[in-house]
Amino acid sequence: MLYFSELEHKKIYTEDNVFVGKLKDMVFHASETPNITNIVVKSSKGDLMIPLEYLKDISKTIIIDKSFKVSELEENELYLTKNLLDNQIIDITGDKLVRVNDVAIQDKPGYFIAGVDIGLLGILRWFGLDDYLIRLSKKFNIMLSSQFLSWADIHPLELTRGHVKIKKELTKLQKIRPEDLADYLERTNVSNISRILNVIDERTATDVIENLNINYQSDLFMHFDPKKSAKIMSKIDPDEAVDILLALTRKKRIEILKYLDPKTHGIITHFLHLSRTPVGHLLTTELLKVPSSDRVKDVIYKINDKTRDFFVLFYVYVVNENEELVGVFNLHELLLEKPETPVFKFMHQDIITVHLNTPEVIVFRKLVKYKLYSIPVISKDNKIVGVVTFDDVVENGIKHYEQ
Amino acid sequence: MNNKLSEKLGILYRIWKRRLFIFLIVIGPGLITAVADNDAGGIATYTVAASVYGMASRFLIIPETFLLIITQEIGSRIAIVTKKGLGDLIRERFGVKLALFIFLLYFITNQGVVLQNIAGLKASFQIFRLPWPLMLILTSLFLIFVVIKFDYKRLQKIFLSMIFFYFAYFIVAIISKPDWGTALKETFIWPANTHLDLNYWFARIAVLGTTITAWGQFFIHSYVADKKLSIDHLKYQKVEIYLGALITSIFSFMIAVAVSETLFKHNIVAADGYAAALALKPLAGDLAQGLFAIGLFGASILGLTIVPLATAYVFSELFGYEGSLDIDFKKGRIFYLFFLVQIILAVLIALIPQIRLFNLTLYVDYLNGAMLPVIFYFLIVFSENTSIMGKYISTGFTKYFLRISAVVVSIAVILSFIGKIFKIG
Repeated sequence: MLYFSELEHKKIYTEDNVFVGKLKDMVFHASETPNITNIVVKSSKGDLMIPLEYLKDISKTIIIDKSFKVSELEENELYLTKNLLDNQIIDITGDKLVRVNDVAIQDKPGYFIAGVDIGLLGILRWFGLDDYLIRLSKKFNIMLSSQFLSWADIHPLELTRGHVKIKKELTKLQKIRPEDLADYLERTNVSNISRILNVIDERTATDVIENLNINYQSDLFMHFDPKKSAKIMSKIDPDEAVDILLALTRKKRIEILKYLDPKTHGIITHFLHLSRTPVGHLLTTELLKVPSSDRVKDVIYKINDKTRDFFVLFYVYVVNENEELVGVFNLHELLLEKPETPVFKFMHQDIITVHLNTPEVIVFRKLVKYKLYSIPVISKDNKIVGVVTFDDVVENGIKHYEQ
Repeated sequence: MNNKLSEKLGILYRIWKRRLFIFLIVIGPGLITAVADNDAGGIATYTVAASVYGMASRFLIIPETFLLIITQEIGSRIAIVTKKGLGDLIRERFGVKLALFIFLLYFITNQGVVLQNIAGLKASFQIFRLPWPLMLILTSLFLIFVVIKFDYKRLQKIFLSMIFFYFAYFIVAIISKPDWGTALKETFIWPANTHLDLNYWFARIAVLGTTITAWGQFFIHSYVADKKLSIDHLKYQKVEIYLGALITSIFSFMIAVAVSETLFKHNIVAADGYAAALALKPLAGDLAQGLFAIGLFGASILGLTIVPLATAYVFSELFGYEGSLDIDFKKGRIFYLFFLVQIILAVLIALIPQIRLFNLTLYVDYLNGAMLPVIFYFLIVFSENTSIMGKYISTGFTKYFLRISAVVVSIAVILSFIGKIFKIG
């Protein structure tokens, strides 16, 4: 995730190192999917609007294609600084709430606006004081987090009329990507989630549920009636369905199974039988977990300090203050970052996990499906208990082959 | 023949009745802001300056009045056209960094002004031999209650009625039996003896800074926006602002006359309003002293309400919170919070016995004066931008007078600042 405050005034070069200017603004499409379409460069020849397709890389500097062309503002396109940043946010009744203090931009794949920062940290980031305050508040045992308003909450149409207006009708939430909605929902509570899932169409709901973390998934199915649960179960990936079912109470599980269509019922019960071969014996506890506020250099120090006698280390897992697994990154990703960068800035938040009672075969399928070297195993309260590494898969494959 | 005339008069009467009616609708922001510019701090500054320099302290009163009119007119015009406060525009056009910087500077300056008003209130209680610590607390609590509970309309009535307190200075000036001719002459003629004295210019800028204030500029803007006037009211708003500026200048002139005729003539240099009131008694009598104290009381109450409100408005605007006198406490918590903080902070400081509040007077007004060029800059930028103002942009005399004034005030501020650095001690 990038913040506009960190991008503004970044120097822009072409691939062959010719200085073009500094980043002044960005142009985005005012819609439910607010893709960044252009960057505005302040150069000696005036402001240039360069389409995003020429953008090569954003790191310390911004690199663009040397054969870049300039474009013009198109219909439904808005400037980030003029139309969004610093603007007044009002709610549906027109009351003033707060101003847009910073804009969060999601990168990879493509660039789009994830939402707006409306908190104190959003203001301090402009002065480069946000990390300082986080560290300071940690000393007093206060956890500061950004106050973030997801794009899902903002009326794109009102934006083109010059208002940053919050929408309250929940029906509009379904137009955003299921992953984003899941992210957003995880910040609310379960009753809110089920309320929202009830108003959006079934397919989106299914996608959203698949993207939720297992705790929310199991809580949700406890909320749903068995008939509805069964309907959703038959639509999601059987691997996921088994995990969710195993996280529920036995009574609830049997109830749901009753309503499943015969085909899904067959697949799922087959997997459930396999759960008598859980992953417990494959588990290794050789893993490194770090708090999300650690900086790159802290992690490198810990690797040096704690993992000397490890067989191998592929990933570093990130946990929050409750020891819950919140992110992951690999060593390559770690080395690409600056020493002072906190890990929460670049970690992946959509983690593929399995449970202690997930059947072996599903663990292997997940490892292969997501091309992972190791997969974290978490307990019911989302705490990491160990990892299963890919060599177990290979071993298992050979075993089958020999049989 | 007679019939036609009376018919014409009838039409004229109706037109003027309608105009007067609209005028009464718009009345408030210009008058209240201008008069509140002569708050307790203002009175103290006028008094101190007049006791040292006599009527020369009011030299340049006419251009100063023009400047007040023009800055207020531009402020209210931008507010009526954009329906936004100055704080809104600064944040939207210049970003959060500058917004925060302006607010910090503004908060400190305003806290100083609130302290001056608390000091003025304390002085007026002391003159009447009332238990001032208790009275200060009670008065502040009362003000807080009134501002939170009352809506815009009722508060405005209270503000307007506070103006009558200022007539006390009229009477004090008359009691002191001045030679009006000499007073006027000294006001309008170049003060030959003092023109190279940097301390004089320091005092002069302080006087300017208390008449045309940073908070006043933000306040008229926010207050007009809060009043939700429409473009049709623009003309009438202008008239109200002329009236307000005129009344304010007359009040400040009267204060200067009263002090020049008494303290200045007897070579008594007053350090603050309280000392001035005490010194007034042997020279002009009990009545003059009492009236002086009543004027000070009214001015303090007005300043004590308006200035923290001006802070609260600007904070709400810069950081996007709901900020209006018409909202209840729950909805406008942050708006009212800044109002509360400034008053409570000032009362607490005033209750510390070691602190002599009026020592701050000139310095606070000076800080105010130093903020003016910055505000002029914003006014110029916003009022000349067609994307903000449309066809209502500043042109002609207003445009150039404001630009020239901005330059003149900036130079004056720098000069007297240099003067203070080398002359202090």
